[in-house]
Amino acid sequence: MLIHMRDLHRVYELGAEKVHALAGVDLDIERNEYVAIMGPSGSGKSTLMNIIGCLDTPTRGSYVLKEQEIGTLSDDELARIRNQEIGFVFQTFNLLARADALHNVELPLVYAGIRHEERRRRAREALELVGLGDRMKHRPNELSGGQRQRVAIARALVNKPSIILADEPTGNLDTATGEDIMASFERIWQQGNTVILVTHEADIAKHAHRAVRMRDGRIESDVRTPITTAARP
Amino acid sequence: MRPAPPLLRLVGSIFAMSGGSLRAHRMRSLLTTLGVVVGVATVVAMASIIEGFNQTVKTSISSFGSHVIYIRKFRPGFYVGGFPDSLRHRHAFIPEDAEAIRRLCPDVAEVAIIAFTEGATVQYRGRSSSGLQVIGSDPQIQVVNVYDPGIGRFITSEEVQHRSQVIVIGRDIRDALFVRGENPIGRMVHLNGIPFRVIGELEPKGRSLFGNPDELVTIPYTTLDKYFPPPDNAPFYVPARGECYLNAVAVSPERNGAAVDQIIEVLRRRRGLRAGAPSNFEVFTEDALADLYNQLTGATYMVMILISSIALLVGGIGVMNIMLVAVTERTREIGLRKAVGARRVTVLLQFLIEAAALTGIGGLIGIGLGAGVAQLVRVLSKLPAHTPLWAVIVAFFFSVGVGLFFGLYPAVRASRLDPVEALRWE
Ligand SMILES: Nc1ncnc2c1ncn2[C@@H]1O[C@H](COP(=O)(O)OP(=O)(O)O)[C@@H](O)[C@H]1O
Ligand SMILES: [Mg+2]
Repeated sequence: MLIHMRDLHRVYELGAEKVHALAGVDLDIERNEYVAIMGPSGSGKSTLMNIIGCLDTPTRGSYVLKEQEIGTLSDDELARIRNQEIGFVFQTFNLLARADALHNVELPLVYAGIRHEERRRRAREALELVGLGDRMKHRPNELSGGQRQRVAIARALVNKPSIILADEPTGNLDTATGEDIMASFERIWQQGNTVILVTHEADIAKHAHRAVRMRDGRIESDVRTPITTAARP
Repeated sequence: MRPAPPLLRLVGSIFAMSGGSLRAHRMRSLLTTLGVVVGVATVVAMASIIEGFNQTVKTSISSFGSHVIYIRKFRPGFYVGGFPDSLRHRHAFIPEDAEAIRRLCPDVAEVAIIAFTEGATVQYRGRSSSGLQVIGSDPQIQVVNVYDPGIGRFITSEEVQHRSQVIVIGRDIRDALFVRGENPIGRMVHLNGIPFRVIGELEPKGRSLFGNPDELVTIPYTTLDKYFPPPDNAPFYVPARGECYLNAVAVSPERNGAAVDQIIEVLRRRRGLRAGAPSNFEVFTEDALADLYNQLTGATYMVMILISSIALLVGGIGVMNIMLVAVTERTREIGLRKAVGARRVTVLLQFLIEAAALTGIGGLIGIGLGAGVAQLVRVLSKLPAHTPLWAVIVAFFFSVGVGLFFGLYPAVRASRLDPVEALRWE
């Protein structure tokens, strides 16, 4: 089991008011699943993703990632897990504006303490994988939205994480480009990665083979669509 | 799970990142460091100038011989609130005092008479040199002050007795009056209109804080008394007509203290001072001059430290401010770095190194500026200003230190940002 969550709560305190962003989530995810998390705005999707990605910790409940209880870890240990186990893709790309594509992709490897030549080699590989082998020296402002998101995907992949997390990765892209990006995730999943993505577009969600629906901080439904053999390589 | 990499392995990359963001804001960074630049430039320039003074003092002390005993009306020093009248009305000495010291002080090897006047002009065939100090002395000064005639000879006792119109000149004066290669010995020059025969030239001694020996002319003190008596409005430190100062030297450096005591005793007796009454003259050695000098440089250093501290403080606050701005501007970047695995300490180091690099560069500019000012002083004045290595090193590390100190708070702020909040920052 890759992810194992029981009775997970995340409560934000806004003065006297308490917002139950997550109100008791039970969720198990296996290795090499492709999960779409859906639900209306404010239902707690991003909060859940942040906790899965160890950017945030639950207020209550248990989250075990690769046999390790996350709730008790220190900031530095969380940082190490984010570095080694998690690859994030954000709606707003979050690339370093001053750095070229290659340096953006290499960033997780910097914090992994990997040496320069090795970093360069792996960052190049990752960029080639997302079809940007000829854009390595371009800065984000010299790339289209779709290209930027592919740089971000390359960055998420480069340190060979256990989970790729994408929070509305196509939210800022037009439909055609969005389909393009989804094809990238499809390929990543086919290569044996675990992919979890948040979306509220059914078209996007159908790429996944499991749809988790949320409402008011709880899981409303969890539907698996059988993996067609055709989809597997 | 793999262990986290040791921080040391990241340092190179962190440096590279810090440099990148400084380059992105070149102008802003430069302006921020202005305080540091000014502070460091002040320290370096002042240290260079003081170093120049140190060197002249060293050469002047060694050229005068470091064991000269000065016999004066008063001690040189800082007189807060003006020079006191009680000292102003003191009498200097007379040649007989020198005679008595020579006779009665067993530990004194030699005593020389020194009188002087200022603002003299010497002329030779239409060429002239003015603003000179004219020393009236006797042959003993050669021994006491270790004067060597480079060419020609020094004044003799007969010339002192006969008030002869003979003159020993310094190298700079020779250069001013005579064409290159011309032998000055035996030439007649005019000192304030009165003819003097050149009998010697002093060995060049170089620049000195207490008058440049190369710019002096020396004549018998009797001749000085006859032709150039001090005017009524002469400054208080010039010995009055018929009076003089004395320089003495002990039989050996170890006997310096004893010699000083003996001189004081003889002079007190000659002046009829009772036991317990204060002396109305001063006998002191070069140590006293060194003390005075240290007092002077000490005060200069204090002023310098004050100025540069203020400048560095201003610079430091500027750096803190700009770093806080940078942390705010780059909140999302910090969030992203954390999301991909940057630890707190790594983020902290990045901003700390950035601040230190900022002030370090400011420091380097300041060092360049200060050293430039010192060179300018060297060229424009005759002071051999020279930038000491320690000042460069101290200035550099201090400016880096300012960056580390004032950059710490912004860096801590950056390192403590919550990644989720930071990533949502607009
Ligand atoms: N930092 C926060 N402080 C307070 N409330 C928050 C914070 N983050 C999210 N929330 C609240 O938690 C709930 C779930 O938010 P979120 O997980 O972002 O939903 P979604 O991603 O599904 O739109 C919302 O009501 C939101 O207002
Ligand atoms: Mg959301």
